[in-house]
Amino acid sequence: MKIKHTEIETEQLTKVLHNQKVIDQTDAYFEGGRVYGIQGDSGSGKTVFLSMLCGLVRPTSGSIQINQKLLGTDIMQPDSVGIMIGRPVFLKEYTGFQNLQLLAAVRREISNTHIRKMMDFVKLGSNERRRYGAYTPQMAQRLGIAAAFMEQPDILLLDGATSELDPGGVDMLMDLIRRARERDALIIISDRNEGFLRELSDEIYYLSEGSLSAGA
Amino acid sequence: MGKLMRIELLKAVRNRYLWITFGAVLAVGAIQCAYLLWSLGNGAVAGSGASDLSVRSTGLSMTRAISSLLVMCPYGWSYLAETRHGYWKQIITRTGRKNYVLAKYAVIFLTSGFAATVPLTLQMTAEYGIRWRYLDLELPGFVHNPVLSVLLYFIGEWILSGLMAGFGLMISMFCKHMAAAIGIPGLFCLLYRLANAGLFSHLASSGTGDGTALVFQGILLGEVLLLFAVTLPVCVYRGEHLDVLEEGSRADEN
Repeated sequence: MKIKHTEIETEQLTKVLHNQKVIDQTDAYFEGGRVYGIQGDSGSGKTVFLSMLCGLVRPTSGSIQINQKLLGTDIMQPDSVGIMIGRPVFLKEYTGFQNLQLLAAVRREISNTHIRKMMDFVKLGSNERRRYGAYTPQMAQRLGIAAAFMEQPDILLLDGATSELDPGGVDMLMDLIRRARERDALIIISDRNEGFLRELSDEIYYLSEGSLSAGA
Repeated sequence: MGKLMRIELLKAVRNRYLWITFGAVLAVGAIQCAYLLWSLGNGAVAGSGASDLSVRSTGLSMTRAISSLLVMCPYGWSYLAETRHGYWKQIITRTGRKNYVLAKYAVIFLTSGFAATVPLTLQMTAEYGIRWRYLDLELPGFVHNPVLSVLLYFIGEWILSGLMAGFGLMISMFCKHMAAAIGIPGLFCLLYRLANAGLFSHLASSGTGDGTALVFQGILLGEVLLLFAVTLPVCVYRGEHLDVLEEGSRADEN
């Protein structure tokens, strides 16, 4: 299913935290149908940058436009975004399936059948009745991936998505990302796995001292 | 927001703390009624407060105090819990911060109101019935319009308890620790109840007669409106401007 062309543009984007510039006057442009990789040392601001793009964190100054709508003014968050920023967290007393059902109920865009298919795809189908509190870290990661991808969002922001995944899980994730790119989604991934980034990304950026620069 | 409210309501009803709080307040009320029954059965009328026919009976006051302390327990803690461990990211990227906060406020209002009001109303009805049976006292409002009396008490108490929980939600948005988010609003609500009780006693003893009830109802109405007018906008503003970067930490904008 092809979606409308999505674009994100940042202008002089700055974020100051605890008197330190985490993101410093960063200009960037991202468009749908491409995968962008972001590398950087630990603490370089990758998570903050991705969090700002989906409205979780407000910039100190500068602007973010998503499809020419100003984030924080015209819209408070992107219309259609799937995120995996930080460790995936769900409600412990519910099963993985129930957790996805609760999230899907917010927008009511997908059916229970679709949720089950997604759980099967991420190899959690056989654990449908297991409570999230009993999940292993790898299972939790797979559920987080399912939650990010299940509604086929226009924008995908993935930070550390391969952590806790075995090689089979990484291949599964790569497959999902490629499919999302084919339907013209805009995908930005940040990961310590350099091979993963290089294999998938159409463009790689390096975040250092708050600035985004084109990588090698 | 309607869909989100339904989801939040489902989560609130399924969470065990709602029912633990409800059970605790109910138990306190039941103990009070049992004590009253025992007192009256033993003929201990004088000095026991048993002839106090108003909603200010000692037993009800104690139950109200307990329910005030526990105001955040049914579901008021959920906002802090979900922002601390990061679950809220999943919700607000799908529906937005304002809808999330509004849904939380509404459901916390409903659940805290329920957990306090149903046991209090049952206790009030039971105490009136016990006193009427044993003391053969006149209970004007209750006897002539028992259903209306109970209904008015139920609605009024629900609104007040719910708004106190809304106040608790507002406080929790500025807290980093669960103990503070639950304890501080609970203590405030307890002090608020005690202050109101003291004010009513003062008004009653000052001899304003029939006007006392009207004056107190007017004051109560003003307090309710003030609670609503302050807590909801502050909750929405704070919810829209809070940056939560990682679980267990909060980073407000500089």
